[in-house]
Amino acid sequence: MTEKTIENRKVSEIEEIKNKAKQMLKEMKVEESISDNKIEFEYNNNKYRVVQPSYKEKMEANKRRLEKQIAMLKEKDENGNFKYMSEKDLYLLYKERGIDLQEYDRKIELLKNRELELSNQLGKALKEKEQGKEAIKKEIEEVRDRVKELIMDKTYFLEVSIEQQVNVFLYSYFTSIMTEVYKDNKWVKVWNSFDEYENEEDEKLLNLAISYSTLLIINNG
Amino acid sequence: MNSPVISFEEAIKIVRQLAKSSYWQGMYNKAKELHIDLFKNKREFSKIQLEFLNYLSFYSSIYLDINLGEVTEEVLENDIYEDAYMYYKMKGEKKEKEKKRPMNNKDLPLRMRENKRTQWVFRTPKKVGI
Repeated sequence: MTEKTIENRKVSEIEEIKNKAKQMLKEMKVEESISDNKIEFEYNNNKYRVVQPSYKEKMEANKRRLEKQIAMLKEKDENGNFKYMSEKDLYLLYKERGIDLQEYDRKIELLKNRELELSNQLGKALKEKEQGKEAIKKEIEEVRDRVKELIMDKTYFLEVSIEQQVNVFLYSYFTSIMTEVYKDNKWVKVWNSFDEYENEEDEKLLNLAISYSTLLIINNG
Repeated sequence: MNSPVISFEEAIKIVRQLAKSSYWQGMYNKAKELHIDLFKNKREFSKIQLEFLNYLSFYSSIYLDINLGEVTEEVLENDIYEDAYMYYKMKGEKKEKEKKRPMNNKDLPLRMRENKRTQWVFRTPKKVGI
């Protein structure tokens, strides 16, 4: 075995260990978020955490969401045209440009129904100990991949809609109020205002805070 | 070491693994028997906690069926097998329920339908001759 091969092997083994450690950390974080509703994380030797927002904070977030939505609905450009579009408007605009989003919806629905049909067949095969399970499983995987692709394309097309932008705003707002840092023996907010959050230059910290706060945001927002 | 970024999709995969584990299944059964809380918070459940509760019940049902001999352990081989089996099972249960459902008034022939009209309230008052 040459020195280079040994070196490569070592690098791939180290990579594997790193990936395993990363996966274990992810599992720990998810388990932590399940049992405690708080998640601590480390970044640049500082201890951070995301916590559930208080009732008052949630009411404030909802107020801000509505304000944002109304502002986006009203805002016009220099020619007096509305600056932002709703999903409904975008469906029409894309159709004019030759992209039929309704066709995407139809395809997604058809594929989802096909997945249910296949699931029923596979479920029966499992219960009755029939053959051919692997082939059905493969077909389900293909259907799921296709649905995922279509949804990703549709999300990309509708990213600029008022609805999607308001959602992004809401998640960002929640992240700004849910993230705390451990300083001088106590937990304090990382950002004192939403403006401060928006001007944060450390993208890695933002990504971490968003990823953990998303796990904690309650269902009714 | 910095903590890793976790996408919601990754988190759901982990939630499934945890809910399937013997540790959490044991905790789930104990929580049901002894009314122990699974989480530190008693309300305001996060999305991830609700998903976890759904999957605890989902896997508890699969394990029960394996123990009863309804299906073999093969079902636990992958997520697609598990989802498919539960879908097939739920569909079957829904059909059974529909069969057992007591007949609705509208399902009965006209002459057998129960007359629920209140005769006394809506009856035209008899004309009384003076």
